[in-house]
Amino acid sequence: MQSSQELPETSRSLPDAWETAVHHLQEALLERRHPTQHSTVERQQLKDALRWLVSTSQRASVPFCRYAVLFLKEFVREQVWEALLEPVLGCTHSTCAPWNDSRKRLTGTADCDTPTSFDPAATRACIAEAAELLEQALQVMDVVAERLDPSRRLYWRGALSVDAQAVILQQVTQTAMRRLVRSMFVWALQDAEEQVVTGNSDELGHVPSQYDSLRAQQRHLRSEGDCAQAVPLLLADLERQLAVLGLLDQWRDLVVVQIYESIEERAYRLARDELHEGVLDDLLAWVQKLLQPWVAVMPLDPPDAEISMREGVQSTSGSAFERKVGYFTHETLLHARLSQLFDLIVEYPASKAPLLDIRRCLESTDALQETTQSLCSQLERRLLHPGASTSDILHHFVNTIQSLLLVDPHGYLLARATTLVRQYLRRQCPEAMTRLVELFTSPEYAELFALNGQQQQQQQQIDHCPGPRFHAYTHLEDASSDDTDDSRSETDADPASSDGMFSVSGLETRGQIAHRFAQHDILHILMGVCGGRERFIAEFQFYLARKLTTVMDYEFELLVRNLEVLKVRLGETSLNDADIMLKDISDSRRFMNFIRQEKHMELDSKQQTELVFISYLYWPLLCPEAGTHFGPPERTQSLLAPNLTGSEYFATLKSYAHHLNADLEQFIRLCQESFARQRAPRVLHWIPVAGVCDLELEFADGRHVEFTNVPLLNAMLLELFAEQPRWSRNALRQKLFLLEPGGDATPDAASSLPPYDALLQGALRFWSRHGILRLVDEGDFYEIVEHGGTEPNTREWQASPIDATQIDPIADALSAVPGPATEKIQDKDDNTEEVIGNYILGMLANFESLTLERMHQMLTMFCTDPPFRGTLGDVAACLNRLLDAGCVRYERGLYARTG
Amino acid sequence: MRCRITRARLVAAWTWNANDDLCGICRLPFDGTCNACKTPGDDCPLALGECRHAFHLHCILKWLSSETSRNHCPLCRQEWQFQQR
Ligand SMILES: [Zn+2]
Ligand SMILES: [Zn+2]
Ligand SMILES: [Zn+2]
Repeated sequence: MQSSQELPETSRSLPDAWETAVHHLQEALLERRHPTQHSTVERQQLKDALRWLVSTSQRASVPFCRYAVLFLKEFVREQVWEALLEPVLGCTHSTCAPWNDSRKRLTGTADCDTPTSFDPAATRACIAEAAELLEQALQVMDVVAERLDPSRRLYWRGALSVDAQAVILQQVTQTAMRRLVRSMFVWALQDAEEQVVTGNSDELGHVPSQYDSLRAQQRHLRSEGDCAQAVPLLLADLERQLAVLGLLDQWRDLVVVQIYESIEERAYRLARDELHEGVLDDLLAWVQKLLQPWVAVMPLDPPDAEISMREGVQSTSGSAFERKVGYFTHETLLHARLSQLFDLIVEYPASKAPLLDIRRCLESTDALQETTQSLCSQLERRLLHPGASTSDILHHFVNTIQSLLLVDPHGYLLARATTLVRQYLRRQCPEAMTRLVELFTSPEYAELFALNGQQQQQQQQIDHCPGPRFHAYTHLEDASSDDTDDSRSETDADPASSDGMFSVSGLETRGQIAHRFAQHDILHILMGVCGGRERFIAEFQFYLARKLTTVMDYEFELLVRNLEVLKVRLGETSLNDADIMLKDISDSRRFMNFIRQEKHMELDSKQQTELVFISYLYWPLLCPEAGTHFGPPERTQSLLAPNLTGSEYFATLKSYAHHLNADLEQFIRLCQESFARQRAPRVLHWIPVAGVCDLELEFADGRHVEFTNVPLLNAMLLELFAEQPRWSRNALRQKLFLLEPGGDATPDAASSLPPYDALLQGALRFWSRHGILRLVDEGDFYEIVEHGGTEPNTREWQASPIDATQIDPIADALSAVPGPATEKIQDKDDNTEEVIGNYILGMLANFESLTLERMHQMLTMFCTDPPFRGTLGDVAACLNRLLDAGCVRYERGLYARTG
Repeated sequence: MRCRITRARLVAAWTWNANDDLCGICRLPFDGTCNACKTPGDDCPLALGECRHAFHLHCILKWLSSETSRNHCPLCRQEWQFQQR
């Protein structure tokens, strides 16, 4: 638009110095250089040139003016007031000094975020000053424009004033806005405190110290008068001033920003560390107070398409502005609460109120996806990692189920969490189902799983009203009954399929139904994540068999109750076997009572001995060694219910037969005779290895040690040491298993023979772990430790009997059968086992004692170079070697270093 | 050292004292139940014939009540007589 012909004519009256400046300007114009590309020196020259132009009333050409204005505008952005005003007025101008003062007060208030100096009157004055300032600035523009190009004065004025307005808006108005909104804050806080004075809430206890100044301020306000009246006055002033300045549109946006910031801060402050009380109502009430004065002056917005408010969520009576703020409030509190979601789950049921906060926020916003992501990442970070034991995971997952049903009765969140946990457990925790049965049977959870008739009835009703709402639940159900069909479950849990949930009308009632349904189904969900219903039932039977045959004192009634609960949940037929197991027990008890009366004299000395006879086809496989099991059944030899029936089974039992002392021999014989007479044509066969007993040991040094729940085989072994203090392994083997001396089986027959050596080794290890036996003469002989009282621990032992079931069942089971678990580690790397052994000894040096599971966790977490990927069995095998080598000892579930 | 067993629990398995392991009619173990029963033992007892063949009581009764049986043992075709004890 400009050409070289239009170049400005420079006045001859220019001082020499200006020649250069104008020359620069002309060059700049020719080169169309942007003003910011000038060097500092050039800028100074340009400024001076401008100042000269103004002061000498020189008329400049249009392109020159245009360029000068462009230049000025750049400076407005960069060095606002200086650039704008100094070239024109200079610092010496008489009107400049007071003006500068007020400018500094307004723009230099960096403390606007901390309204310690808040003062309604001062703020009002500031706003007035800002208006005045702008007016002055515009006058200056006039002067500049007049000098530059009188014919287009208004045009220049407009060009400059836009920037000036931006500056004022940014620096002055925003400051005032913040102050005003802060004053709302102070006012709302004051109101809260008044409630404290009247009520009993400790609301102010939650206000962190940084708000002390606010409280001081608020006391000040109270002395001055009612803030609720002051604020509207301020607003009215502001409104008028800003209208004059033509800034009315922008200031509203600023107010909204300020309000949002305040709400955000308030929401996070209320939610922080508050895991037990709900805060949504407090927050909403507070926001309501905060908004009141604003709503009065804010005009009703036109319908806003940007945020589509959900129907019926917010009262339709409010303005669009109010609804926007309502949405924002819920969303903000949701974010605050989501950041503590896992902590709330851990705290359940104490955290019900905060969880309900989340639910209400979810219902008022559109954040289900975000919530799901947050949930999943928290579960992965806080729950599903090697540092958490399987029991912990299940324990917290029970809380998770209950919490999520509270938060989202439709079950969408729960379905996602369930998928996540199931995948993790399947990958990482083969023993999950065992832990679940322990959890199910523990008295702590009895109430949770118990069903009363009424609930059951409800469940049946719900079972008969299927509908689209049950989408997520069908998925959970499927997972529990059939956990191989993962792909389908995953698609069922697809986010997209559940998006429509909220759009269905009448969702509340359906949600409630789903909630009731799922609440009763915590067990089903748990079974689903641990491998399904069938595996649960099998594992429950293992648990029963273990209790009934390896623990002297168990609570029979509790087991019966557990079974009853399961029958209601899973149906009578699927628990038939477990039912028969418990029937066997009560049958045996009746029989024992009978036999005690009948054989009173003969059994007198054996009052404490009892016999359990089982319907062997209905009992699960048990590992004979420690009376425990681990891993798939085929890995362990079983005497309870092998895959044999009748004569084959009893032939196997015979091959396992072991030494019994005379009393027990007689007892068994008596029982067999009685039974054969009473229940003919039924007879009894003794099952070796499966018995259990309590022991009292007395040593030469006066130690008196009691054991409970000792496997019978181990007791029989120890009795041999009472006869003779030192035995060779071979002699023990023959004596214990009633073998012919030298009559070892041929290799052909060896495969069908019981693993005598493994059984013997298990029993020997049992006693050496407890320091009762020790290895002598390079491992060939074992002898009794008669003088072992050097360790202070032995004194403590006597307080209560040592419970043999506390022997690490996993380590024991794994050690009995040298299977793939123990060989694997050597295949990987010759050094690995030594390295792990050193790690274990190192851990035990730092910790007094550790469980096997804990050590496995720690190795997985801390052993990173190379990363440790061994199984629990690898660690158990390693520990057993350390035990055999005497580096480590074992007491009551814990491993410790010797010496 | 002195070692005393203060309490003990022994485990045994019961079985029907018969010549065979499986019922000749339903081919299920005697130590379990017939097809119709749930609980083994005295609730689903064993029946011995004079011919020394054994069946689940419920199985042989069902057999005897059928037209085709003509009161014969299903295995040896002799006339069925419950063994008297
Ligand atoms: Zn039969
Ligand atoms: Zn029957
Ligand atoms: Zn016959």
